[in-house]
Amino acid sequence: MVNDEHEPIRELSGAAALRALTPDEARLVSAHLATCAACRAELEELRETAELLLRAPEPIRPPPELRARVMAAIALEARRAGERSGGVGERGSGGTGERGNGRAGDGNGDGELLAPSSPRALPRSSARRWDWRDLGMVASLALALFFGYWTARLSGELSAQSAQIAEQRALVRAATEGRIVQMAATGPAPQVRGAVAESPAGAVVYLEDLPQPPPDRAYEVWLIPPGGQPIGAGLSSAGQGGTQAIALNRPLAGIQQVAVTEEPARGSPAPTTPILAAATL
Amino acid sequence: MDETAARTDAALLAAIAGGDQAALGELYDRHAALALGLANQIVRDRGVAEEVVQDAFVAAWRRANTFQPERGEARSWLLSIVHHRAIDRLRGAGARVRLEELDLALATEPVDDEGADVWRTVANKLDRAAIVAALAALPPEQREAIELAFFGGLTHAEVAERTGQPLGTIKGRMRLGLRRLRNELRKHETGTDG
Repeated sequence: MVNDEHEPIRELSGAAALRALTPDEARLVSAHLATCAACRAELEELRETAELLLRAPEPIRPPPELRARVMAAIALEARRAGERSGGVGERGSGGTGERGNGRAGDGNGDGELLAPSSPRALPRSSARRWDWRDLGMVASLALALFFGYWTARLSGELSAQSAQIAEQRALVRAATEGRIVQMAATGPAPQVRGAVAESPAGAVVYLEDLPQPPPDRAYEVWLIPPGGQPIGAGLSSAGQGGTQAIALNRPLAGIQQVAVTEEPARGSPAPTTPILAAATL
Repeated sequence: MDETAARTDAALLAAIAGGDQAALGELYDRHAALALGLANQIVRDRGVAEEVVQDAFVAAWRRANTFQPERGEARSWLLSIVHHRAIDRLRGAGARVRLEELDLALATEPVDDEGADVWRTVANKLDRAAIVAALAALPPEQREAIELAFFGGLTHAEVAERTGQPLGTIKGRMRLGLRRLRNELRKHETGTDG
């Protein structure tokens, strides 16, 4: 039973159960496990034991906003799934066939298929252009928000947190009861797409395919009343391009136009660069 | 929506797989504190930990249909997602490669003997205090190796480097430590002490 072939694998079994292997070692082990029931059984035992450690840390009562954020995210996911599959509960790996049959990596706790890139795997307006009546698109942007923008923010910036929550809620509501107005690229970055989402919970500007600004620069949203001066209403994260969601710090009542420019990360008193994208409400 | 009174976690996951948002909310209410504790233990930053938890629940929503009750309990499945995500945050997503292959290999053929069933029944009932106590009862060097890997996101080679011990020693400590932990917790099978 004990021969040289198994021993190196067994030696690694503890580390494997703790998920502490290098990729090469993991490949070695998994190749062996594929053909060796004994080693598989041993590792499975250790893995189950290691699983108990998941419950060892002291629980921390989450803040109530976290639940709101989670549920908003789920509502968006559900809406997106419904939109894509015509109401059939097809989610995650389903739909476009980008992930095979779902068997791969289905081990408990597998996280691979949840890679941040998944929202990007959605068909991105291949047939038609950006249409904000397409709720799936709303949600796909929201997902990009969750996995990209939101997760990229570090806790040092949590001052913006309540705005983030408002923005999630705004998205959910806008998808059902609010309004969404498309923004058009107007300046030096014609690929930029975006929209203003407004709901009773607040307003959010979503932008996609933004160029990456220098580290000390950000995108600022301006609200322009008829015949008035632009009012700064929200900033993106400094130095971040791609997809950004900017929660606005004031309602859109009395506002005629919304515009976005690149500005110093702390914002400007007035726009100082060409408008990148704009919408007329 | 309200016949949810005493649904098991597995039943909740089944409902979630069918698109039941309230079930996800219930799962959250049950396990969010554990999830946040776990994430925080790994990333050591409350704000980041909250993001990890949020990501993990969204992930659970999307992947609920892949949960296999015969492979383990729903809570562990959920917390494993949290663990993956937290380690990813700690190490960068590139480290993920090392996590997946084994799951694949193990998933090919679930171990389904009686011993495993007994263990699962015991394991599911263990409370946190018992787990913590068993962990604390390990020889310190075994416990350290386990914790550095599992909560610190280090590979065994990195643990060896960190602790200044030979690689073989660390591998041994991890394996022996887990075995010992299992044996220790197995005593609960008889339901004698807590």
